[in-house]
Amino acid sequence: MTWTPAETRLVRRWITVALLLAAIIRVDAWMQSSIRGLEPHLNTLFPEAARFSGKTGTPAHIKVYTDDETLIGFVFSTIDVEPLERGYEGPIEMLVGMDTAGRLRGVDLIAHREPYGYFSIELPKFADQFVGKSILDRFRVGEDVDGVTTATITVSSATRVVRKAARRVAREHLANAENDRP
Amino acid sequence: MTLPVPAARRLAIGLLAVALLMPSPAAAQCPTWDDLRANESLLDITISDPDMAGLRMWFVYVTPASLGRCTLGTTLFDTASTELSGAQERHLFWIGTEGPALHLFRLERIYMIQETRRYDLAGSLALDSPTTVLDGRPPLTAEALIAFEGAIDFNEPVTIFYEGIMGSVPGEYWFPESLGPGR
Repeated sequence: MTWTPAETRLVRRWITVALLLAAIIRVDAWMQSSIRGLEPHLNTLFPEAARFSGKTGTPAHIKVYTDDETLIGFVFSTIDVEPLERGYEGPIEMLVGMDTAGRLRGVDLIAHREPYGYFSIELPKFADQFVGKSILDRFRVGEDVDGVTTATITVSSATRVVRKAARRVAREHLANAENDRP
Repeated sequence: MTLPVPAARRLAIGLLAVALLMPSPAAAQCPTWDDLRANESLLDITISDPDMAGLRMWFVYVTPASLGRCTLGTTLFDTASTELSGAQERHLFWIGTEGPALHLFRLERIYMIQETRRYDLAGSLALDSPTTVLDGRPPLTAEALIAFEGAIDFNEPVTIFYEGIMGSVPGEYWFPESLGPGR
């Protein structure tokens, strides 16, 4: 069977379209895999969300959308945004949720090696005090952030990394958030 | 009997007395130790543990000539900053220390970060103590100047770490407001 030039062009077009679709599906699957395991944390931070993007951008973050694809916030890991920050024994990894007005939706502790973490940053009352805080707040332990315990290095480091990460994501992504559509 | 003093001489003595009693404009503009602390432009890092003696260190950014002269005095600032000057983006901090664990202190254990940039020690100069001329300073056992190299965003703080034997002790340093509006 011999194809005419027109048929050949058509087949080539279809193959190109099929390859592009496969690539898009693959990229989407890869991006979704970047947030695998984080779903319970994401849903806690943004219970009203209809969809979370994969981890993307610099600094890396996850975008949060409603049913009508409106961007309502960002979720980011402190070690992605501030990789050099550390507490007494190493990095303190927290997921931070922030809405498009620059207010924190919450903070979820993921991992740490702090010796006294169990009675400081692991306590729910440490994370709870960040809900509703603005990135313009001072985030100073002993002022607008309660030290919770005497593990001051750990608490100060965790507080500092939340503020720095949130302000950096806001600087990079919040100014353009209104135009930021999927 | 009182000797008559000519009016011109009396005026000269009066002017001299006023000049001696009035602080110089530079000194008048110098922040005190407490001013810098309140502004978070004087960082206090304390290392203490129930099993070890304490070590306390303070940092002040002294690259700006005004703050450098207020911290070190004009003569020392001019000579020391020349000695430590190197690359264009070189940043000097004065560090003062005290505490019974001072023998464990090593300048090389200090480093600094800002966002994704890390700054290791690029130079240091031990100073005789007492050196700093800041009003209200505590008693200090040792002082030094340390230098870091690289671009810094003065609108944002840096985190200075002392990498201790048992763990790292960080502290956040905010540059004086005259360098950036941050915080």
